[in-house]
Amino acid sequence: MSTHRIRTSHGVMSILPLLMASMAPVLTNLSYGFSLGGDTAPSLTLIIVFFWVSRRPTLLPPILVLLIGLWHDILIGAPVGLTSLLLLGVRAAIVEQNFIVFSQSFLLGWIGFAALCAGVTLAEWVLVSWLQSELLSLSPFVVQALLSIILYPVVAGICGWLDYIVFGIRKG
Amino acid sequence: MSRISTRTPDNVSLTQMLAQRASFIIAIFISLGLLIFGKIDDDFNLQVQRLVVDIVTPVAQTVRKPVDWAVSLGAIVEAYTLSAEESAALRQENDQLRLLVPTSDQLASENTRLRALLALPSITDSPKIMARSVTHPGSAFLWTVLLDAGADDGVEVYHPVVDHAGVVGRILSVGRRSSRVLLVTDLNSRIPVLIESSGDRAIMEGNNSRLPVLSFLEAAHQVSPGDRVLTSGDGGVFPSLLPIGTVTSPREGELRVEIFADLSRLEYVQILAFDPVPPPEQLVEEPLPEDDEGTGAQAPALDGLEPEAVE
Repeated sequence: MSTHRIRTSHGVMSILPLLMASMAPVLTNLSYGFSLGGDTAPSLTLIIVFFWVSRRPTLLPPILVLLIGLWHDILIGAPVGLTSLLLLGVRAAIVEQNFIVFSQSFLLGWIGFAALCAGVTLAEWVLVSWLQSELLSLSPFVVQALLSIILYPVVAGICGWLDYIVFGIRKG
Repeated sequence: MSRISTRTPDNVSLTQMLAQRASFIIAIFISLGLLIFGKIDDDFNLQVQRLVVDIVTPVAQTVRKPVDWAVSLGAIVEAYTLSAEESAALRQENDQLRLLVPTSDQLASENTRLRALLALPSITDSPKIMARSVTHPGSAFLWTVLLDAGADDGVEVYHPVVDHAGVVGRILSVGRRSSRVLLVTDLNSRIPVLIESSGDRAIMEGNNSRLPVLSFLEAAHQVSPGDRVLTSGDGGVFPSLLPIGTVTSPREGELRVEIFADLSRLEYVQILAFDPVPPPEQLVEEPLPEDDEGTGAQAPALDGLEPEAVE
């Protein structure tokens, strides 16, 4: 007999993934008067969107992912539409291609995130180079991707704990 | 222990699936459309950011408050634990600096007199606007930060931004109470500079790294690592002779500049409300200002000149 608590209606807590993803660029790009990650910060937004889309895709429908991406771009001063396009690509890769295996275990989730992060990084580099009409150095993009992959367990752990507390299902 | 999948495709009706698919396609089109529009129209991204920058900044400031409290608490603890040796060293340093005050005053006075003779505006005459950096650069391809001062404080596009060490960048877009700075290291930054030791002029180009590149330097062989790099004042956006950094050893055949300002730890900065020197043709075209009080003194025709006009 399963000991999991299952709630069919999440009510106001359904906005948790949206709230977390919206706060991500604010937290990673805040000036604290000291340096958190040097020149390049990990993409907390990507980690959070990946986690929640792989766990609860219905709580982050495409329109919300679009808004999260636009918010991220406006906050950090990126070309508007860039992050939303990349995040929608991530959502499509997980949901449309049935990569639901990512939510089956922590390790699979980490490996899946690393693979998708590599793809997103490459796509971002190509898009930004196109926007700038100049082939940019790939190294800052790779550093950002590596930092994101390293940070994934911590953020996914917090998200998983919140998932259990709020929605009552433990996985992985 | 049985695993429970959160995805229950059977529970999702065909209508819901179609609606979700349609919203996905619409979202993709919106993102692509915005990207392409931004590529075609250079000002599009700036205009969008100008509209929302005043919403973003208060949110960021609110979120940062707990961190600010923790940092200030740490500073109080540090101040109490300052050792006697450190206090003595600071007192000695203070005494040495006081000895330099008369010399500094004399040089400032001489500088003012010489500038008056040449009718050159001094950057010390420009109003300075204090601002705090709300964000820090953290993107792989962007070096911009948000400041908590905007048009209401007198900030305008192109105003230079400096910190205690040197040039930080220039204002890129302005909201009512906040503004965005394009840092000197950003790929889109180009600053006319001169090498202090040789007087050679060059363009310092940002390259999304900590070390911008010096280009269009005619006498590169005359430049040595460690030479100071200053703004040349060409182009009119930056006043002349603001310190930027020092030349590093050549890398991959390029001379680079190590920036004085620590851009990843920016906190308080000054925005120079600098009115640039206009080209002579504009001085001729502009009517001379009327002197209402009849004192006979006439200010140089610099006030009210938009930086864009010079660019």
